[in-house]
Amino acid sequence: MSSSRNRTSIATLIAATLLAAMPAASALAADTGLIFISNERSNDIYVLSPDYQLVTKIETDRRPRDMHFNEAHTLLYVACGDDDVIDIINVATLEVVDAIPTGPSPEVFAFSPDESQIYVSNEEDSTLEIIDVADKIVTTRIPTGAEPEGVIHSVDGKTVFVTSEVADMVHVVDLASQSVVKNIIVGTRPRRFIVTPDGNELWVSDELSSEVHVIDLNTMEIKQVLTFLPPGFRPEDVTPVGMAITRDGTKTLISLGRANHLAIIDTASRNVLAYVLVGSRAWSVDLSHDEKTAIVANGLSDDITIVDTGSMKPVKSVPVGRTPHTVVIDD
Amino acid sequence: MKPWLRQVLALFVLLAGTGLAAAEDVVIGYLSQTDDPRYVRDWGYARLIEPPADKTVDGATMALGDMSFVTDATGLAVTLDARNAPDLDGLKTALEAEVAAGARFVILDLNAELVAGLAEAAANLDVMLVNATAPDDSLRTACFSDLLHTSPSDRMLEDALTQYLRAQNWTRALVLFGENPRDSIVADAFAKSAARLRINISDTRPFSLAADPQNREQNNIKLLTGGTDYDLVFVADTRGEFARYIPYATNLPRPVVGSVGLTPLAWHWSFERDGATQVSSRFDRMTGRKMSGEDWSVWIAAKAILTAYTKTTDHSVDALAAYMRSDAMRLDGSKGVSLNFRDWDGQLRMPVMLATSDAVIAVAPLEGYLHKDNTLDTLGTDRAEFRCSP
Repeated sequence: MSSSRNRTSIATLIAATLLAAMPAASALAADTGLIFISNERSNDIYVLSPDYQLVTKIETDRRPRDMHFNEAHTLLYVACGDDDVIDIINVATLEVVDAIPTGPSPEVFAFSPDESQIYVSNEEDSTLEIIDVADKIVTTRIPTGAEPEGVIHSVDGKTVFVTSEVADMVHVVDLASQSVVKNIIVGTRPRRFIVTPDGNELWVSDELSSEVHVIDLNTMEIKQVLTFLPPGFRPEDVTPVGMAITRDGTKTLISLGRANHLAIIDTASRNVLAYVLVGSRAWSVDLSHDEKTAIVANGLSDDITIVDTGSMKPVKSVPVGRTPHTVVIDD
Repeated sequence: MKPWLRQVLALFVLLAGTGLAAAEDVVIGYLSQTDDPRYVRDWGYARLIEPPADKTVDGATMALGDMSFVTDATGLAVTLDARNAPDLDGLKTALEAEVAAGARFVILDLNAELVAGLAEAAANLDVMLVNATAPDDSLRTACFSDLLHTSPSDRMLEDALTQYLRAQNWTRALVLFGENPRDSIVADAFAKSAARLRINISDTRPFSLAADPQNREQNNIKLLTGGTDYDLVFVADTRGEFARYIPYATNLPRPVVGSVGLTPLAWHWSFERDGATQVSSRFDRMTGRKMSGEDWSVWIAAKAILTAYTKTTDHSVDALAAYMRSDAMRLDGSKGVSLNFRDWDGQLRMPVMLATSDAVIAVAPLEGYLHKDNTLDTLGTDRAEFRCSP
């Protein structure tokens, strides 16, 4: 690792550059098509080219997990659970250029709509932290149930939702009052979220009860409980975690964990269109910008599976680092 | 139902009716034996890190903390009532006191004899006992109406081990067992598991601790493990005093399993998947020690009880226990699969870890061991072969 002093100076430089280029920020996005995979156990991020060749491995702080680009796709933020920081990667140079300190064991995070704040779940001390991105300081700590994980905000940006894997609930956090205003009990070991693009539904994956709870965001009540069962599997084999939804909201993709399949669902009817065979313990899933390709990280087979969403078939699997956690695509 | 209980319930109904004090008191009882000899390790037996006597209660304390957000949100005011006593009479008195204080579930960290004694006494009380640390199958087949088990049974542990032996194609075992009554029980459980998966037992030999252990141990292990061929040595030595000297001392160069070497356990602190790290490190931070299998079994007992309270509305003991024994319960024990209690013997279904001193080598059920209902039922006495024998 480069020293943090080094990082800060480069960061300052980059921040200045960015600031200068701000009005044209979106024009900066290179749409490289690069695929980034965080590997929890090998402490690095694999960068693959659009044709799935290894471009480079970016060394990060320990246990890199959730990742998000800024809106301009110039920077990639990576939560590093064992060093209690969110590393910042320059997408152009593919180097760690800065880091934001967090509480113990950051796992999953989300940006506020204006990117001025990060909402991050700290698995070890059971808090949701709100971090000011510019000042790199924690402004608020909100206690959650044990082992908080999934974090997402509502479409209007006024509410943040966080799961507690141990308490089996979704905390509804009102950002104006910075407090938990409601707890919704869902299935066993709730993990991740999606919000439908119309802003009406929050989907929660329940790893150990093999369910997805659909919460009506207008009433904050559970609207529906979905279950999935690829042929030849038992309900207990199905451990849903990662989810992705198309921009028009018509299709939802859910990784089924130990059942080694990706479910592709017609969002409106909830019908399963296909179960796609992927690798061992399918975890996070991301869609390419054109939504023709989905990429699934397989936590136990240390590879990713590329899925063609048109034919709904796996195209190929590519080996990556140890225990891949999250996939994001720069396009 | 006890008259006092009826009064308490009536009070709750009254309060609920007025919209006041939505909180419902939930008391979880915990009983242990004062200076439990099972936890005495005078000879510095250091291979596994054992909790000191009475301290498995830490597991229950942690579970209350883990669940506090959800119990608060559902209006449950949870307290832990932990007591200990040196003998059965004292424990019966303590149990009655805990029930009188409102406990409807009492977690037991006791040996099989004391668990059986209390389970008989519990028949007259409005309470469900949860056996967290006695693995004896005899407690399961006794079919006590008011007893659940979160300790894996001996058969579950040995089935886990023999699944691994079969997968490795190590099919000839030399069985050694000691003088502790539990040693024969464990060796018998291993023999039954071995028969199920057709592991051959080349010989079964008792060992004893000699008057002069320094010479005796060295000579004896060579002799004990000589004169026959085998793929592995299985040792049943509950106290571990003898077993720890067997690896690397056998007549033939063979792995040692059972009480030393590769050991089947409910939990091992080094397990890193399925959120296990978070559980172990929370426990470590809270107590300053590693989480043992016994700690895990107490933790999961309290967690199971509170999960039942938070996911059901009828909070009578019978209804809560029926929920725990049903497929509706999907309990998270941080072992990657959901857990619940078998309806035929009240045993918690669970994966079993096969661990050395510092690594989990495999988790049973191993891949490829299938079952028509639930693969976890490949571990332990299955429904079809289960018979009550009180």
